Amino acid sequence: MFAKLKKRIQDEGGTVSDGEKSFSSPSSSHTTQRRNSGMSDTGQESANEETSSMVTSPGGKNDVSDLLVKRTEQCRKLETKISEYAAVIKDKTKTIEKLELHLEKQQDLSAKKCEELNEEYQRSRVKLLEDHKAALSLKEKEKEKLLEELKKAEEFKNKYFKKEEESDELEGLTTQEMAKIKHMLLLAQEELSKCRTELASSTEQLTAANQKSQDMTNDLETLQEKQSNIEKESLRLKEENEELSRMVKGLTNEKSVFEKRLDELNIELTSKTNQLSKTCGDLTELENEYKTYQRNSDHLQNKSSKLIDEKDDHIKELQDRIKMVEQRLHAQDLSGDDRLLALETERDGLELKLSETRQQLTEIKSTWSDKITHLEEQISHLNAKIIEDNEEMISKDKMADSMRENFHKQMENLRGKLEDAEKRALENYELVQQNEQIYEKQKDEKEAELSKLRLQMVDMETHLRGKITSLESQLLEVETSSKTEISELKHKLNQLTEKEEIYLTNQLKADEDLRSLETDVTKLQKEISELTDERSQLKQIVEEKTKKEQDLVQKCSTLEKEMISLQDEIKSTEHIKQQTEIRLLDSDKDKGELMLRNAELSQQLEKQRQLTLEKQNELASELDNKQTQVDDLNQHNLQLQQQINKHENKLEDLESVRSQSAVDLGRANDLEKVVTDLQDQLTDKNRALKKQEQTLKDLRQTLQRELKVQSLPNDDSDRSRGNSPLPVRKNNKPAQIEVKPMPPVSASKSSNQQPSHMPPPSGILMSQEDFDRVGAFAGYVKDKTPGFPEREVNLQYLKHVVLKFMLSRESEAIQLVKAISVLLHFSTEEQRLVQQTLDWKMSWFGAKPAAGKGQLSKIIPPSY
Amino acid sequence: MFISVTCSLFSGGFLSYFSGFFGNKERRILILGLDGAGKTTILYRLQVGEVVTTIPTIGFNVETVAYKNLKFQVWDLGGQTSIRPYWRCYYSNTDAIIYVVDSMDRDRIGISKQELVSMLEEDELKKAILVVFANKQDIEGAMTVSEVTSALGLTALKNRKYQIFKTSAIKGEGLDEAMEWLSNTVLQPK
Repeated sequence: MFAKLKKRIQDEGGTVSDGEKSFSSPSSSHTTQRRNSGMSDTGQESANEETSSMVTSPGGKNDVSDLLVKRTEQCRKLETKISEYAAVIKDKTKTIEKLELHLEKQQDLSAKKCEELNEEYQRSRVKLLEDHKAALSLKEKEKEKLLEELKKAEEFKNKYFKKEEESDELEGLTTQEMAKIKHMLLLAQEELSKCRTELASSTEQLTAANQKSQDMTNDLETLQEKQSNIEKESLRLKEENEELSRMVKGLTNEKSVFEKRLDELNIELTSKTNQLSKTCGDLTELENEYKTYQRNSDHLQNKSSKLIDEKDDHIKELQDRIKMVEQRLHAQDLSGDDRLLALETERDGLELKLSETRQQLTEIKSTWSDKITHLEEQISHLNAKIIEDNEEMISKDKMADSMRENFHKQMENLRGKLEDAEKRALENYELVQQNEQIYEKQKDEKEAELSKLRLQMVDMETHLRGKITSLESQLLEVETSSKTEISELKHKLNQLTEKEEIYLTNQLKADEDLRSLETDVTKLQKEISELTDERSQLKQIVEEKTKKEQDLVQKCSTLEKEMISLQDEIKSTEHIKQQTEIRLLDSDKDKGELMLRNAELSQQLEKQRQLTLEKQNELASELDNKQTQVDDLNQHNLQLQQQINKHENKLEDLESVRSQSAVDLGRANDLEKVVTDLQDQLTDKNRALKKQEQTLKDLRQTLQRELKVQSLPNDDSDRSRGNSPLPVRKNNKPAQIEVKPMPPVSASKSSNQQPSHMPPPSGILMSQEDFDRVGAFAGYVKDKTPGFPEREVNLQYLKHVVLKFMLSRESEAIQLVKAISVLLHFSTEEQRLVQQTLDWKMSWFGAKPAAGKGQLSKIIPPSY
Repeated sequence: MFISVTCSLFSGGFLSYFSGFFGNKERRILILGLDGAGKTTILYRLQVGEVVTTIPTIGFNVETVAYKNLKFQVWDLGGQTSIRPYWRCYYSNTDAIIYVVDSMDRDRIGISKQELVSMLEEDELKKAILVVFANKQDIEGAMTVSEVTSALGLTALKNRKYQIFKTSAIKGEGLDEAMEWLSNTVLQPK
């Protein structure tokens, strides 16, 4: 401050000096004096200066002397003025001294007052403290007593609760036991009802069983009647069976007789068939012979005709030769040319003959070949015959086979019949055996016949083969003889014609014989057919009889089976009867047992009822006891509650006392506040005094300096005093704008925080050193005292929230705006601005919210 | 500057816009309660499914917890006395409140009730669902659910969907049932 003053003084001095440089030679004292005078009363000064400037411009010695005179006058005037000023300064110094004395007095007075006030305060405080301590100790004692009583009451309470719980448990137990007993009773009743139902069911079963047994006896009687009926029927059936068996025997006998007849007829048939076959064979032989004869006759006729032709040819040849010889004879008669001509004609004739002979030869060859073919045909005919014979043989074999098969079939049928008869009746068995023997004999006979037939066939075969060989040999002979006989044919022709006639007669005879034989054959065939018809009829009769027999046997067997089944039924019914009787006995036994059980159960029931009644009585008595206990406990509880109420009343009294003490404390606090205020005032005053002293010192120093440098330092002191309030105000400023302890919540919440915002009692304990810092750091010092950890917590909280706000994205951070604005005491405008800014950052479009301009701008302006 | 603006658009607005468009809206849940009730342990039990070591929360923790098809943004606010007054700064747009009570702390249950009552009086929480966790049930001698209910005076609550569950954050008991109930109740039309 003083430095500034000095600077100003220097500056002003500088400017003055600069101004004085325009003058040629003014003394430094002059200038300062003038300046000072100019500063004190500028009007006069300026007038003087104007006059001086006006005077200096015209130059002259008179003028100079006048000027000197004027100046001396002025000097005198100034000196008088200076003396006046010195007197004024002296007065002022006196007044200053007086003021200082005053100040000292005031200081002493204030110190004394302070000391007195301090003493009074300390006394009052000590007194209050003592009173408080006494009251507190009393209250604490009372509190302890009350606490003890409370504890006792709580103990009582706990006991009461325990007892209540016990009583509840006992009640629970009793109810449980009651429930159990009820359950037991119910179970017993259920068992009783079950037993009763069982009894009823068993009696029903008994009656049902009795009815069943009666029904069964009735059934038995009916069944026995049925049995007797069935037995009668069986007897009748047996008799019928016997009759039928007799009938069967008769029939079988008839059958055997018929079979014998059949066999005989068969034998006859076979014999006749044999005869027939023999006659047939003879017939065929005869036919064959007839055919061979016919062929031989044909051959011979052919041969004879051929021979006649040959002879005619020979005759023609001979006639030609004769003609030739006659022509030769004519030729011999003729001349050479004629002879030649004749010879040529002969030659031509011979050549013609030759050709003719050749033709003849070829014709002969062809005829021979024809003959050979004829012979071959004959051989083939013979072979066909042989084949026919073979076929006949085969057919006969087949016939035999079929016969055999028929016999086999018959045998099998008979065997089946035999077996059936054996099964049906043992009596038929012997007959069947006999029949079998007979059949076997027949079989043997037929086999023998068969073998005979086979032998005959073999004989026939051999016969035919021999015939074939003989025919072949005959053929050969004919072939050989034909050559030899050609010459003899002329002689034999007559004989042959005769023989032909004989053969023809023989043929006629043979034809007649054949017819007779054929008629015989037809007759025999008719007989055979008749016999076969008879046989078939007999067979049919036999089959019918056998069928009847089978039916009868089947009926017998079915009747026997029925009998057996009926007997089984009777047995089973008897069994059922026995079982039902056994069941009856068992059910009777069960009934007795059940009756006994029922009696036992009823006894048990009665016992249980008695027991339950006893238990109920006991439980009721227990209940009564417990209820009395409960009543006692309730009474006790009431007493305790009364006690508690009393204690509560006491507590309330104590609390009222406490509130009074709190009021006292408040008063004390008020007093403390007064004291602190007074102390603050004191410190302020002290500070003001010190500052005044300092300013005074400075003023003195400057005055002294000025006085040393100049003779008039009074103006400076005035000037410095005029400037002094400014720095003082500046010093006071931080004290006025001290940071309030931030109430973190609004008014609604402040009630919770009251203890934390109580005025600090430590203010009293502030040392003199703290007084120096009070001005600037009062708020923080107050907050950072150990009695307020919330502040630190709040700072931590603020830091946490702000960090999260800064590090989160806009969409998340927007949720923290409110918290931060509460923590930092944002105004609604500021809060709204932050919110809008965040919204703008998140949105795609929209205008940027206005954030002020210039010094009031709340954002860093963008750098683009 | 322009790039930074677009980046912020993409990072914040754009994604939130699309998440709001496609997915389910995130439900906002506050976990409140006195200090030491186990709020932070419950939060991380719900999120990670494990018990984590915690320090006293001076400030808050926010985690996104997915339960079934629902997404919850769960705010665990510190419960110390000095920072309890700041709870009200987070009340807006809250769907549900999980109020955690230390079942062992019989002395401070009264304070807990006061805090709960004063909290429920707020206008911003009029439509919020209340779920009370009677926590620390794994410790023997803890207050039962009925005791907690009577101590908090929950029966006097009107015009509020609320439910109390006995839980143990350490053992993870009761949390699933509570979240089940909460998710069902949140989905119901108001």
